[in-house]
Amino acid sequence: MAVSDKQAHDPGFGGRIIAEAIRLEEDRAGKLLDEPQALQQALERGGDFEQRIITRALHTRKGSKLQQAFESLHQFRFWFVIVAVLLALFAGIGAANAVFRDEATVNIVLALAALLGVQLLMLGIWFALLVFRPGSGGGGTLGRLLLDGANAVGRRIYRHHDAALLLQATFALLRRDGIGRWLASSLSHTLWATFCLGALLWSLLELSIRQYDFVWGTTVLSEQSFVTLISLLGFPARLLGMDTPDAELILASRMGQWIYEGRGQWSALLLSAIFFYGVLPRLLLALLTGALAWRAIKALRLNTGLQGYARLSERLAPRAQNIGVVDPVPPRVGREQDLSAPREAVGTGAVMLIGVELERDDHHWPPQLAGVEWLILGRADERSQRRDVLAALRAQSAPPPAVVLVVCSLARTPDRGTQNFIHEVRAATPAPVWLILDEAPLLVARGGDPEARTQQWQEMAKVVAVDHMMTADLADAAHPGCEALRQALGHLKVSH
Amino acid sequence: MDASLNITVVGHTNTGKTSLLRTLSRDENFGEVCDEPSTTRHVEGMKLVLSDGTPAMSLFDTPGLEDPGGVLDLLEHLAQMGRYDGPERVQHFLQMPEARSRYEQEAKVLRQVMQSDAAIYVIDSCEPVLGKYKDELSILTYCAVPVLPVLNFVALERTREAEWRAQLARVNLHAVVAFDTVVFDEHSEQRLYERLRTLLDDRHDRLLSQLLQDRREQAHWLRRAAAEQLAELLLDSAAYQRLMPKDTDPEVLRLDTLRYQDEIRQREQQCVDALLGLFRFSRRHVSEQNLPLVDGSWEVDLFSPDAVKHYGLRLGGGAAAGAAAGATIDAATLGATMGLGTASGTAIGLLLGGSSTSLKQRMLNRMRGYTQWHVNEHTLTLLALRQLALIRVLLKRGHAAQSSMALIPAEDKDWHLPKTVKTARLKPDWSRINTDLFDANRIDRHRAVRDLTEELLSKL
Repeated sequence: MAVSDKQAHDPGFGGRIIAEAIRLEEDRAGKLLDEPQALQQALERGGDFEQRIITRALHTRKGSKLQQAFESLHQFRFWFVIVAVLLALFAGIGAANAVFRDEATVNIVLALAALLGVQLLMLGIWFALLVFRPGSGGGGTLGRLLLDGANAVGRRIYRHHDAALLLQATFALLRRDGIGRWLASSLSHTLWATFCLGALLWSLLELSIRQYDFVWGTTVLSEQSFVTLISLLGFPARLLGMDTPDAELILASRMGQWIYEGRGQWSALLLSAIFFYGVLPRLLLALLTGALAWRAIKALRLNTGLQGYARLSERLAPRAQNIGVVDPVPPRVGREQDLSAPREAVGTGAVMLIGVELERDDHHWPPQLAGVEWLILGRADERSQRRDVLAALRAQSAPPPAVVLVVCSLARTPDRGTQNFIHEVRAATPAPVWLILDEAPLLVARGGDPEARTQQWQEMAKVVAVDHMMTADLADAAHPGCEALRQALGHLKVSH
Repeated sequence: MDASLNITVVGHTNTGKTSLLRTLSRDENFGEVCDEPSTTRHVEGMKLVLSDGTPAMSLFDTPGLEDPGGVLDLLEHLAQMGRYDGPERVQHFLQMPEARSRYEQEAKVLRQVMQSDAAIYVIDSCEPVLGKYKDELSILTYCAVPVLPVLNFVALERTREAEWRAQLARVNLHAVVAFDTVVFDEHSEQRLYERLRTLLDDRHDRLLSQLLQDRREQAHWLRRAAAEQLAELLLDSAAYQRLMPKDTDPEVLRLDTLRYQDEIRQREQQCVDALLGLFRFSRRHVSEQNLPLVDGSWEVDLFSPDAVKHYGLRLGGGAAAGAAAGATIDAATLGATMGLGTASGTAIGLLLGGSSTSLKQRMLNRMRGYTQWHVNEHTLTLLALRQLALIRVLLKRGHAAQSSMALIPAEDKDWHLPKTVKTARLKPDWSRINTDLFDANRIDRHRAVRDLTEELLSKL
């Protein structure tokens, strides 16, 4: 999730292991460690979500204890590997020593098989596993054994919960992106390289200070196959210009010929074979897989989608920061309540009707109400219309209207614009002003609550001293509001 | 000047300005939201930040423009008095006494707009294009800042989106975004930022690109994390098991069963809480978001006999009858369940797959003379489907028109449990509710979580 250019420092593999260990611990406990100061630290240090997770983990109490355990475990692991490497070296020396135990003659094929055979076989298995079963870890059996061994011993030595937790966490991470595979392979290759190096050095020593005769023998195989085999083994050395046994010498060295010649060539063959088929490939592979492991570790990121991490996102990765109020509410907003007295209908003129921000089209305008005649002053949606309506209303002075009906839509939210208009309407006429709330079904269709909305209009009506307010769906003759309106208007007439 | 980006959100009263800010900031506590006029009377701001904490832009919430007609009258009057251009007129208006009295609220908005790099004009798209809205647009053009109209509530049936788009085009506002603050999805949010980028000066390009990229990654991450939560829930529940001695008293058995059901319920609740947390809803606000939850819990109990019927799941004939009768437990010996009669050690070993020897031994010991309780398939299906439905709702925020009955879509009703879940039923050490057996580090469990997450993601 790194988007920023400023790349905060990488917490490294160790930090990730600690974070992973904390996650496992929290997962086991079923709840997060409640340490606000760690969260605070993480928020202050910043970085992307993963870095914040790690900072938090490192700053928990458990996290700092784990760091100590991690250090000692790390040292232990280092010495464990050193010991293993030394053991491999001695194993190589031992193998070479076994080959040269017989003082006088050395069977060249047996010697090569003892020093290279197992190693080449294991290399083949490693390669086959890597190609055919990459998911299984791709070999590196020896390295795997070593890692397992280190952990098993480590667990026994550090009989502490923290160490076990760290090992678990390490394993969880090693499983990702083939890190474990490359690491184990790299260790395997290193150990074999040391083994071969030990064998090479010991052989060199033996051949330097003692005299051996090289022979070979067979009962059923043809001589030619030995010639081919040995030429093949000597091939890299020959490329480098070293003197290795030719076909003649090979045939001459067969057991029972009793011709001991070409000791130099035979020695060169043996040593070069150990080097070229043992030390060199293993060393190169160790470097290669080591580089791959290193790269995978560098590229490793915690899987922040895991439930243990994901639940931190709310607290660790805010999407926004509040700036707060930049321009506060003034002490008093809006129109002061109009305290003028409610008006009685005194005028003998017509019932006048104004439509405000209604959604009816021209076919449904003006509204009809059976038994009631009203004079339509017009619709007051636009500013110009409002001006016209107000002018027309002012012109109705003799006789003044009986009542002015302002029909508003319940689908609208009452606003100060409408409020000011109604105020001006009331100022323009001596007649009482009634607010009729139409189009309730529209509001309902939009999922609004008519009662709450009526309440809002009621509050506005109070501010501008509307003389009467009622809800009537004028499009629906059967609506009880229509009957109520008819009666209220009829009542006006009767009183005159 | 610095590259910080200030955007003011304007609009008529009650069009959802504060909701827009809440949605963009994923902060449900920002400001105050209410279906009432002029809920917001002050100008309040917040910064959108990237994942690494870098601020990307500041957004300011303003009170509604309630009387645009009156303000426009004044501005036009000013125009008659002298040859002022738009911004000059607005500045002039802000100096007038009316800007501190009658039009105090409008003046607040305009002052903020004039200080901003752009304005987002929020429209309730269900409203007809009334004169007052046209007036608001005219006032905004006087301010001479780029305006991005945002159509809110477009998901409602009665939206007048087309009318609005036509009207906006008439006043030369062609870059319009439909962004529903109630039915929200990540793509409309990205479109909003993209449109903003096209409206703004080049120097804001980098920040907006980063914001876009960041939000895209977060959306991706969120889906994955949600699917992973569900995968964990399903594996925990499927692998859950409890053992009871064969000759347990029926009353004790009944009470035990209730307790076991409760453990599953709690686990489900944990998942709901985690999901709400991921999507940054608190339990307190759940009811406001029209989620199918009551106080952050499911309305219908998982083990209630009506649950399957309630969600209208189609289960195979006999199974449905059984499930409807509340028979949601498999109380049988493991051997009998698997049709093995007397389960031998090897058979159980086979069933447990690659378990370690010690586990097999432990299992064997536990199995002898015990019956096993675990969650049956129908309940698991129900568990999966309703969480999936919840995630879908959360991905779209709250949907106003959705009732809990319609929650599980029809095409899901024939859904079968993924194979991984079925496998989990034979792996008691996969369930973290089985605290004594659970092993967080098992490779097969990791794989199962990964596979199941993928499968669930494809359903989102």
